[in-house]
Amino acid sequence: MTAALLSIRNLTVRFHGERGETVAVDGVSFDLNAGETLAIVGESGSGKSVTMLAVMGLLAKAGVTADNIFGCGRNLLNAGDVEMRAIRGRQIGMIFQDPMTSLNPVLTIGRQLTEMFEIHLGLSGAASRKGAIDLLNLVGVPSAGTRLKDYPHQFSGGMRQRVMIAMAVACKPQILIADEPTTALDVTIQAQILEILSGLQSEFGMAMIMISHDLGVVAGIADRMLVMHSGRIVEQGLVDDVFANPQMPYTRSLLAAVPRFDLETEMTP
Amino acid sequence: MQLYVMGRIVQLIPVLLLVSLIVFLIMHALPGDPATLMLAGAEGGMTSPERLAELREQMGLNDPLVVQYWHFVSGAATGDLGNSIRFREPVLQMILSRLDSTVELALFGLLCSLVIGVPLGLLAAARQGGWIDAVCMSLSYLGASIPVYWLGLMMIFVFAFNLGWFPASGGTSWNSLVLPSLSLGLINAGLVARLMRSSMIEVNGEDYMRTGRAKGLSPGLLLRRHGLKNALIPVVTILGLQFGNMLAGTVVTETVFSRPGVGRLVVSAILSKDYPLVQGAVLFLATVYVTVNLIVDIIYAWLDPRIRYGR
Ligand SMILES: Nc1ncnc2c1ncn2[C@@H]1O[C@H](COP(=O)(O)OP(=O)(O)O)[C@@H](O)[C@H]1O
Ligand SMILES: [Mg+2]
Repeated sequence: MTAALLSIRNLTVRFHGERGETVAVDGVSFDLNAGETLAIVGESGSGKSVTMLAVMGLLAKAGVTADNIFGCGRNLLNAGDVEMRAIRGRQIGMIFQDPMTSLNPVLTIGRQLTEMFEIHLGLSGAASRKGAIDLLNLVGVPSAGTRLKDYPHQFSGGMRQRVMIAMAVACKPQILIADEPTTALDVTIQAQILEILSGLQSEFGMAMIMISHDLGVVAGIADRMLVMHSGRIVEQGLVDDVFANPQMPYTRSLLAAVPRFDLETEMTP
Repeated sequence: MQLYVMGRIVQLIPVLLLVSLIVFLIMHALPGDPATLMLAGAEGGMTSPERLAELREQMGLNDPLVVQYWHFVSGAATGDLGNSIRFREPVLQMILSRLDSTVELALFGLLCSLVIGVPLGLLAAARQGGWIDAVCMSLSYLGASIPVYWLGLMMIFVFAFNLGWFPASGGTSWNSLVLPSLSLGLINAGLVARLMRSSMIEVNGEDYMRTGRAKGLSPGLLLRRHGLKNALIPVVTILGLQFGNMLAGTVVTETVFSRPGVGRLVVSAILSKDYPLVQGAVLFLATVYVTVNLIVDIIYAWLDPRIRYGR
């Protein structure tokens, strides 16, 4: 077996609040292999986002400990600020849940896209502009050339999430983390966004971590899945196996809560 | 953007009309009769009733209030604010000849408050909860609680009399501007620092800042390109609203430092009951005030595209 692209051992995250300490992530270990899509599911508050933010080194005020966080050929646990910055956006791209608030309202879409090329690839001017237009075309934003001048509030939610995706994949990262990328969107838009994500994944050969509390999303897109519950991984395996034969009662209750559209469509001709 | 600015300028007209009406009514509600005062000033109190009646007729004081208001407004619209009773000079000229001194003071005061307040607030936000934060915030409260005139007097005492670095009064040379604008600026610097701090802390917690970090931006670039503009929006708004305080501050500062400005002119006009001068100067300052607010709104629209595009 080849070495995993991302390997996490015994990750624990503690927050120090006014009413004592909360353990948001409690001894999580998993691997992500090159090119695969790994889903992390679990109810809201189970520690999915915090896990990935800890890997990215984006939890300033939390206590993050682990035996090992190994990613993109580096030890991310002990990486310095400069080293982490070269990984964020360049080796690991990240998309967040709420496209309405995740883009800077006072900068144009073009500026927010081109700065990816500027800081990671040293491109500027016409080259980065062309790169930005190519990216917008890639994620299906119409009339990309003129829309670079527009501000986020001039885009719909779905279009903004496309821009977020374009930004995250601008430097062709090895890993794309999508943290509930469709939760804030209309159902019709959700399917388009998922399609774009899996299209980009195979085109760029990225590994993807898809965080969701929606098992319907997971079923369509992921190879393997982890089930998280109050900071722990309670079950993991191939998506088909877990769906067909859930081992843990918690997973069974999650599955029971999902309307099975796939079964219904089979039954009604 | 041009459309936005044009629209805002048109909106100023009713505001200024209202201000002129209020100033006019207050002036006419106050006791004292301009004609009597004028004669008292000119002829040493020997006022014959015939002379008074003649003058009242001449000055249009017997006309109905509506007509008098019309004269005031139509005059003001063409730049004629009447003549000062005491100095017998056109009010507008008197104001304009002292205006650059006041504008200079207000601008440098504003500049001082920004130059001191913004970095202090940013520093405090970056070291939130630490001792630097505590020191910055204590200084800002201190600044905000000291009266302008006291600070001005202390500055004169220390920097003019004891150290002799700057002149204590007067107002033509550059170094005579330092102490007045510092004392005016320091008062507002505290406010700016506290606003800047809370605004920056709030912006730091926004999702788009997390996006910036996830993109791999360095803290410096993240602050300059993504944080600062967003964090300045509330500061600019409040500073615009505070400009009235700033104008009031120039009145006090000009008096303390004996600077020949509009503020001091108004004070002496009030003391000598020079009604046309007070009336004209107040209308003039109100015009300056709304114009500055317009400029602030334009800066605000430039900072925040959501306003520029009418959303
Ligand atoms: N910055 C923070 N400070 C304190 N507690 C936090 C913070 N971020 C997350 N938590 C807590 O950590 C737990 C896991 O949160 P999260 O990973 O966001 O859940 P989710 O699985 O919905 O993504 C929650 O109980 C949440 O309240
Ligand atoms: Mg989450």
